[in-house]
Amino acid sequence: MTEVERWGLFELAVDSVAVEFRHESGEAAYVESFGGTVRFMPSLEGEWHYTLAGETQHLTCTQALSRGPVQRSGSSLRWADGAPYHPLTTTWFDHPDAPGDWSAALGALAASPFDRVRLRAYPTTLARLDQQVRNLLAIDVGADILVTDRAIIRELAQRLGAYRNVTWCLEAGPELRASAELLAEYDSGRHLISVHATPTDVDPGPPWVSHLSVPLENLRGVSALRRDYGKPVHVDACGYEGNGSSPFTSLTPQELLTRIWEGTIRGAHVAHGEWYVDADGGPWSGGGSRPTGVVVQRLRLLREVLDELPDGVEPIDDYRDAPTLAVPGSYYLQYLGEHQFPDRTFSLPAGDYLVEVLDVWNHSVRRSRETVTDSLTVRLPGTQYQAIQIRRAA
Amino acid sequence: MKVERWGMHELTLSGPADGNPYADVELRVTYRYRNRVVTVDGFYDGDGVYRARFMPDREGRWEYVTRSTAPELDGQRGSFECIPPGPGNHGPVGVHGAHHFAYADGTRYDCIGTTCYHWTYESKEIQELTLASLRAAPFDKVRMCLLPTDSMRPDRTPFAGPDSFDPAFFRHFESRVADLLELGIQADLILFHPYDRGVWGFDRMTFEQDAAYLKYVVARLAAYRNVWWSLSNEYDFNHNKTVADWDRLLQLVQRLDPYQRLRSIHNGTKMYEVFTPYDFSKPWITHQSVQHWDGAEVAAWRACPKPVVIDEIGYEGNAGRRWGNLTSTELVHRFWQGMALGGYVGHGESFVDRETRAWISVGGRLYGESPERIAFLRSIMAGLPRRADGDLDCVLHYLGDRQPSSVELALPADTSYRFDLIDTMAMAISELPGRFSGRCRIPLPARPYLALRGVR
Repeated sequence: MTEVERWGLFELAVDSVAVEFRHESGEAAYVESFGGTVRFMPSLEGEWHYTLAGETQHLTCTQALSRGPVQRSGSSLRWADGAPYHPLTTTWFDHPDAPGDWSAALGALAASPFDRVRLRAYPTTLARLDQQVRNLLAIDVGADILVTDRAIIRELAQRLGAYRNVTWCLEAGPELRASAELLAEYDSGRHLISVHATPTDVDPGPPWVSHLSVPLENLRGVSALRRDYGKPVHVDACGYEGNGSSPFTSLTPQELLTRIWEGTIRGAHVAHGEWYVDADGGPWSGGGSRPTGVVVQRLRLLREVLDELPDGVEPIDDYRDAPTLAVPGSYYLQYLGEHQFPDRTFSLPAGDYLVEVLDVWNHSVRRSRETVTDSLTVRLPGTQYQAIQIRRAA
Repeated sequence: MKVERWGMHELTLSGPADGNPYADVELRVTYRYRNRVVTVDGFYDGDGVYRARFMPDREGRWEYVTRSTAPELDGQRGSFECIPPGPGNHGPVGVHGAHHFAYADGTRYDCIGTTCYHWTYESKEIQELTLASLRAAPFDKVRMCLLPTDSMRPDRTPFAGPDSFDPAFFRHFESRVADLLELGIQADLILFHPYDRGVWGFDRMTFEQDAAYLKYVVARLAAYRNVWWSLSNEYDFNHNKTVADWDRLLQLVQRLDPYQRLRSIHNGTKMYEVFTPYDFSKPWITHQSVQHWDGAEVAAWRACPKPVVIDEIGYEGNAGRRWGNLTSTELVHRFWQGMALGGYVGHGESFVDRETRAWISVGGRLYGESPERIAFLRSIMAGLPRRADGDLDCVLHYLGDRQPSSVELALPADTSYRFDLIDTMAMAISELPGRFSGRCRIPLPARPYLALRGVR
């Protein structure tokens, strides 16, 4: 009896071009082979069957050992098991003709606060990419695959579609709808599909685009994107920390960190990037060996905050002068960016609250417990890059 | 079961009839071809009957599964075979290049429409007459409203109550959309208009009512491949809604529509003076549905990389209002201006003293002289060589209402052109002697409404 866990990887040597796996419920997946192999990720527990050389074969899908692939749920992303998804992404685009030191990079990723990395797929590097995504799967890091060439869509789907850690990102170009639909047709894992483009260049509204992947330098724009499209928003590129020769690759660490926080508290997932031209092994986001900048360390605080965000948290409009995530009545997270507020006042239901003032830049946290009748004024140090986290005490 | 590509699969199910099924029951159907899934909303069709409609766009086997809040509607599975399109089925129309349209199979779509706002509300005889008129007319699109005006007293409207709909209204309306499809005519559906003035209240509903209405309309009608969405006619004349409200409703239709039918919103004007178009550069807009009196403005609007469709440029007729009493010559002149510049222009007619009432309101019979000349214009446009992006790959120089004795053109120096002189009103084409290239002077007969067509 062949067994594989739900959202695990089932590999099978075949002679045929394609295999249809059919679940007892009637659900089915169409999987094309490459190099004599099909890879299949069963999405449901229970009995699956498929036909090889005229004979019906059986596959038993057992209980999941992971949270599965990431899926869209309205304007949020969730793991397939329903858990909230709050990734921290970095960017690692090596050059097709000058591969970076992947084993060093993989080690750096494993030790970093990141759990998702953007990689670029080139026609000449698919086997290498395949191995990289497999390595990432083993350490539970997501791989957002930037598809640079329409001609490789089918092979990408054949190779990577069964890896649960994959999401797809198409480069803007002609025939985008056809590309997205082609990818959806061949991707047996039915992973998320986005297009890396500003909405004025490519409308992200159609249903064949599962979420937004935008370049955006003014992160205050996230709120309008969420309102206009009702879809999850990834800001793929908000600028790189570094000393590169363009404005985009020479952000100060303070600026990149505040952009990531600003966008995150407005409800987006904001990717990190780093471009120090003199880094050992080259700029991290150009396929370097390890991130050498400041922001990667400062993001550990954000990682901790994201890991503890309550389910159902959403940006709220109540505080028009500062972005605020909340579960109204029980949880608030407000970010004050470059402004040096002396204090902030919140309207809260009566009760006891745990209040934290997070100094995002200095990575320090000041905690207090407050009893509230109808409002709470939180004193601040009067410096930049402060966040306030308020939790209702149990 | 077999369904043509770009045809319609309709699923019929029995479910709860108690309570208010329009508001209480959710039904969604997920259709799958290989791994690609397309999810559509189902709808309540009255008497305990639920339906879902789907337009397949790939030949082969499609499977579906239902999801519903009502257990008897949930988890139903089935499949059908999608077969090649039949004769005359070119698929839905989409945008081609920046400024043009094409059917899904690549066939060019010319986009010369007309307007019959409330033709489906008329007597059966008038409706049949309208269809007969359209069959003989050169129009490939009809702008038409779902909602009645303040002065109408129809037996049925889309609404049966504040939070329920009238399936009989929709069944009739859909049959007329299907009739247009049969004629190869696009149905540019006007979802809201300001001519209610609170009588029905459809121009001032809550967002939730608007949203329920749009969801129901999209669920019923989106699968017809000839449907376009016009969110509102003269949106700026509705003082109960702001541009931000229209943004939200357009975004909602975009989210509801599995196929992304062409989608725009049409402005009003105070003719010759006030023009406040919606910002067509917004991403959820597919084409510019303009009301304006001057076809020469097309050149400016093409700065926005979306097709320009002047759906209202004034109507041929003898109405008591400026918008409805243009001569045939003036209307045809405006058509040529707009179309020669790479835009599209829509027709309308409002003769108020004839056997049937104004065409723009009720359809019926066409009395004007413009349709014949618009047919001529259509035949000219259809025969012109074009580049891959749909723009003209030749010279089309419209000389308008002036009467020059010659015109100077700057042609490529290394290419030789031959020219035809087109009389847009007499509908005559004559070849000019000689060949032209570079900066050249072409002699003309010194009368208005001529066009030059130059091909290599």
